[in-house]
Amino acid sequence: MKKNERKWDGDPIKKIVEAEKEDALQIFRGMDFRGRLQERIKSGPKKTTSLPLWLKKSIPVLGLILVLVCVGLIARILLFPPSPLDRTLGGFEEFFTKSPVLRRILADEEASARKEAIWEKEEFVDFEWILKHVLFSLHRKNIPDEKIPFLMYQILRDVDPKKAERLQIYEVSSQKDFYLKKELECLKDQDCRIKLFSQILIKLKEV
Amino acid sequence: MSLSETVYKICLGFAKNPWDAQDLTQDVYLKAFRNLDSLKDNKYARDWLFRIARNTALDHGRKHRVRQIFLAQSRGEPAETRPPEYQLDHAESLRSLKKAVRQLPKKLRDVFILREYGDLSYREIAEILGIKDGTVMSRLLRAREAVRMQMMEKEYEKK
Repeated sequence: MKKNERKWDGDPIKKIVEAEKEDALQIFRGMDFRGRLQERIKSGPKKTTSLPLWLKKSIPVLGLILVLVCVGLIARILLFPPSPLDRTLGGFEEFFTKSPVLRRILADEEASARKEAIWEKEEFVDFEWILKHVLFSLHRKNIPDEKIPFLMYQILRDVDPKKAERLQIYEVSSQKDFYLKKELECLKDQDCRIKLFSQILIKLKEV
Repeated sequence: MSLSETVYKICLGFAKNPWDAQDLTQDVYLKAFRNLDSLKDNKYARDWLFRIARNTALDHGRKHRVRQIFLAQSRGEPAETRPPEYQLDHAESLRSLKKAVRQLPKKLRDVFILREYGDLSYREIAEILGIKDGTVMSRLLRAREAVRMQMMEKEYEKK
């Protein structure tokens, strides 16, 4: 390396560079570099307002957290899609209206009136959540809508045969409506409702 | 040799002429003054300043390439005391050298300028560029060779 350096010291290019530096330094020394610099410092902005070090360091971490939260939310939506039955009255009603069998009941004025009566009861609110879970489970297990009333009637009969019998006095136009009416009657009774839906859950486990 | 003169010489390597180099040196010091907070340890002030010089020069080269052409024409040249033949010859060689340095790949140019103009040690250049001493040496050899070849080609074309 030293050999190379010695060789380079005698190189004409080195001499040109040295001459250029020498000339330039004369110019530099002849100018009031310090004075001009001080002037510029005084006239210009004092210092760039930079973020504090702790904030600078935390920016990547915060960014990473934000990205992870976003990824988490997206993954949650993809893996656990929101239930079609939101915990709202509207969502619950929506489910009923989408079910072809239940829609028929709702279309019926008498049934609608009963439904309204049920909805207005305060106690129904407690029960609503259980019912939603049941219906959602039915939905998830892909049980056809038309089988739901029959399933519910069967359970009702298992839970309270007397009440089921008593409910038969209602006039029914068809066997299916009979089940449905019983189902709705049962919904009026809180004890019955709880038993009924406990049984539904058990049945579902069996399914 | 003061620190400002070393910075000035480095800037000279990147600039086209001594006046541009002076402006550049001013910018380097101004930038350093405004970013004093980023200097963690005074022990590294020298390398830190040279690093600013190199980065500022590279930025300057990119931003003011066009502006320099016009400014150089409007500036007054310094009084030259050497014989006219020397002036002519020297100016030609210098132009040729500047062109050759400008045409060097960035990696080689950085090493060449820091060594030949800044007179920095291999260790200092390695620190500034974040490379090994051996890499500095090999790049410097390649840079010198490339400059030599470039200038020889120029000479040949002239003849």
